[in-house]
Amino acid sequence: MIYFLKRILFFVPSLLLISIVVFFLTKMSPGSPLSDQFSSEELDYKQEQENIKALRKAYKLDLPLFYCSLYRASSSDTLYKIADLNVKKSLTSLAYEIGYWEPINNFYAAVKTELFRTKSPSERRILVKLLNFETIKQLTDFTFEYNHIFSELDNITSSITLISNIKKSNFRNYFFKVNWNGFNNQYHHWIANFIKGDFGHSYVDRQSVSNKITKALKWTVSLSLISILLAYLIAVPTAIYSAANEGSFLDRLFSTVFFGLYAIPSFWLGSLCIIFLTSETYLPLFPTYGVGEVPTTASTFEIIYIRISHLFLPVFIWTYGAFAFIYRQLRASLLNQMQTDYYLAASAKGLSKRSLLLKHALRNSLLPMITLFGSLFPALISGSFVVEYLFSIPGMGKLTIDSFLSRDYPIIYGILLLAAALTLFGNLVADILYQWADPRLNISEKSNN
Amino acid sequence: MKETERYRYFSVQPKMAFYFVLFITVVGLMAPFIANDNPLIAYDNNNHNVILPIFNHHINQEDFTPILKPLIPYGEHNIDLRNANAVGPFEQQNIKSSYYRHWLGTDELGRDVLSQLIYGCKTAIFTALLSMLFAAIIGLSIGGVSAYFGDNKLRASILRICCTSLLLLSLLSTIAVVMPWGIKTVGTIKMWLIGLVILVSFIAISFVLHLVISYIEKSFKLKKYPLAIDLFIGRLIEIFESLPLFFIIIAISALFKPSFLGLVFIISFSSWPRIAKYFRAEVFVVKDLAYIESGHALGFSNFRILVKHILPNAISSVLVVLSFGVASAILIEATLSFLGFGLSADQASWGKLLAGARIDYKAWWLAIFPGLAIFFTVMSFNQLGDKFGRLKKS
Repeated sequence: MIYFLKRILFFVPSLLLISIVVFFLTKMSPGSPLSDQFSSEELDYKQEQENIKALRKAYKLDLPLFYCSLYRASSSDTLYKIADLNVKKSLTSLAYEIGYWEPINNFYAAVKTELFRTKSPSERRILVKLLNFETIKQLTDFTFEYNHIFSELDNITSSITLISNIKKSNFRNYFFKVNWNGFNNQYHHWIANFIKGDFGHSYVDRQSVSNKITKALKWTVSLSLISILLAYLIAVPTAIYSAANEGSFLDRLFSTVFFGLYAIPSFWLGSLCIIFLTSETYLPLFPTYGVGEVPTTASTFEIIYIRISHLFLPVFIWTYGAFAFIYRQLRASLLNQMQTDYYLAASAKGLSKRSLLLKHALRNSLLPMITLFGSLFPALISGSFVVEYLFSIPGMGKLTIDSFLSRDYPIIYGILLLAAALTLFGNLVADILYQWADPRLNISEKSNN
Repeated sequence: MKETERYRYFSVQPKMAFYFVLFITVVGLMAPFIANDNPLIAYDNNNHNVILPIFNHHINQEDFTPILKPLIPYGEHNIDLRNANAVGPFEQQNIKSSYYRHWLGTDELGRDVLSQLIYGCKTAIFTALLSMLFAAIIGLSIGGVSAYFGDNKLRASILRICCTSLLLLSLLSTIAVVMPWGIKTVGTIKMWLIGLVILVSFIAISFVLHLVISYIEKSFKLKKYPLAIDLFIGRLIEIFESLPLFFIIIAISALFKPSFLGLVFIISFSSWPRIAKYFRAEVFVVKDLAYIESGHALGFSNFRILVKHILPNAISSVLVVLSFGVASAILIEATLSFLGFGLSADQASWGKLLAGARIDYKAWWLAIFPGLAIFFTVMSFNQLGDKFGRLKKS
């Protein structure tokens, strides 16, 4: 019992670690979902900037990233306030080149005030370009090229001359400063809301994340439950039959077919099924993709027909690996049990073969079934990426891939943390079930070696 | 991954599996020599000498006469526009002679399926072997150290602990400084040279520090405390194993720019804990054997005992994990490229070929051949793993 309590206690650091890793992974990755909304030509610059500010405030992107920040002495701890990623990158690289942040900051401020003041779009374009240079040489060359414009803008030219004439002190790049940002940071807000159950809102369509996830979970959970149920329904009777009639024609048939199926990668068999069983060219038995549109007037029978015809292939692709696995494991362990002493004694006592197999041998060959059960929980959330991708089922796997591709971070966080929690939980449940099925197993000792 | 574990139950003769693995590896390594649009050996008409134009893609076809042509006259990036839109192997093909025939058809863009298969073989083999190499280096060293030193064999004074952690921190911060902007500012100097200099200097510094600390420890008789390395690493492996790895793999490959090395990194990152776990369990058994004890008595260093005496004895179980790992790496690569993540667009891959069948349903050859290649390769590696496992038991 203490062992399981310890395991549960381990949840907390693991989940926190995963959350931090996920958070920084997404922050490090290039591209931002909001950046598309930043750049619109028609809007007035002032208005656009205010829009960006409001948007960043709404998503709490104008706060520091983490509780503490580590940065070089030559750069600044207030970089997070700059919205545009490219500007941030070029300004930091300029700061690294000269070793000081203040002149760069003055330059940035001067350009910004000029941007707010100016009315002509061509001048603004040049000013915006000014913020995208990564070396001082490019910067001075550019100002030289557009001398006619910059000669009037004293603030900017003076700040640029200051930057280009300053004595470079590269060594400052090798010193670090640590800054404590307090609790008002992005990570803290996110994780606090997460614990409260508020997963945030999608960047793409502003729906709440929990709403989107539950919608997707509905499909994935029902599909995987059906699959697992079907897998057991098919595999357990056939395995018992095979074990009881070892070497018979049907036993050999089952073994060959199931082992053959077992070795085929699911995305290959899925593709083959789609090509040969759904397309007009060959044998259009099933609809190609989706879960089917149900008209509002449809009767129950029609609904069932539509759903079954759409979901037959996905469920089959999802299941075949699992039932081949269960069949193989159960058959092998049943055959094993049939050679034990207790089985022989029970059969010598005159028990019928049926009760021997079902009551005694089956219970003792439960162990491999539990392994599968443990992996059920992660499968619930991930669905099967491949199956959902192949058949365009709006489940978790598809939601994950879509949200990764559109960089919808709130959804990514939600899914990843949920997946991690369920994986941990599944492992725990499997361990508890092991202990229940075979009390001789002492897991707490086993795990030490 | 669970997905791969099932393949091991489909039985083929291990010998067949071994030959197939050998065949796939050779084809993968020799891909540019088997399928190439340039001749292997040619006579240069302008300079009057024999040249080897295999890797020179910008060569003018009229400047030389071919002496030895490759088996398949299509390279990785060759597009046959006259046979675009997926022409089948048995269909009428628009070709000059039977030498230029597409034996397994073409894909949507007009690339030869057979040459894509061969280059996909190269991608799969390189990905799998490289990622398993890195995973083995990380996993073996971490697992070995963890099991060999256990929880109380390695003792250190507080001075040594502080110095080591400071050194590690400074190494990490140096890497953090050099990595992102070193390329830009240093420019002409090669990146690997800087890395080498940093590595060598850190090794030198740590060696000197080690000597100094040992002297201080000895002369002041500092108290030494046991380090619970095994506990720490065991928990680390546990945490890694409970991560939803396939999610993380998809996350990394979707969020970052797809590249070959990135894929290798992801796969090795996700498979080292397994290797470390198996090796750790194996070293636990081996390290208490009598011959290791006599090694201690002879005064061998820990490093020598670990590498020269324990590793060869524990290698069989490592081979088992490695061959299953190679199979699962090939499968991960194929699945990722099938889903459209993982590799840059111009690199051939079995998974990508298979994905091509989703665009054009009548192109059955795009679904059958790459699928067969994946199936047999993965199965053979699993068979090898099984064979190693049985060797170990007997």
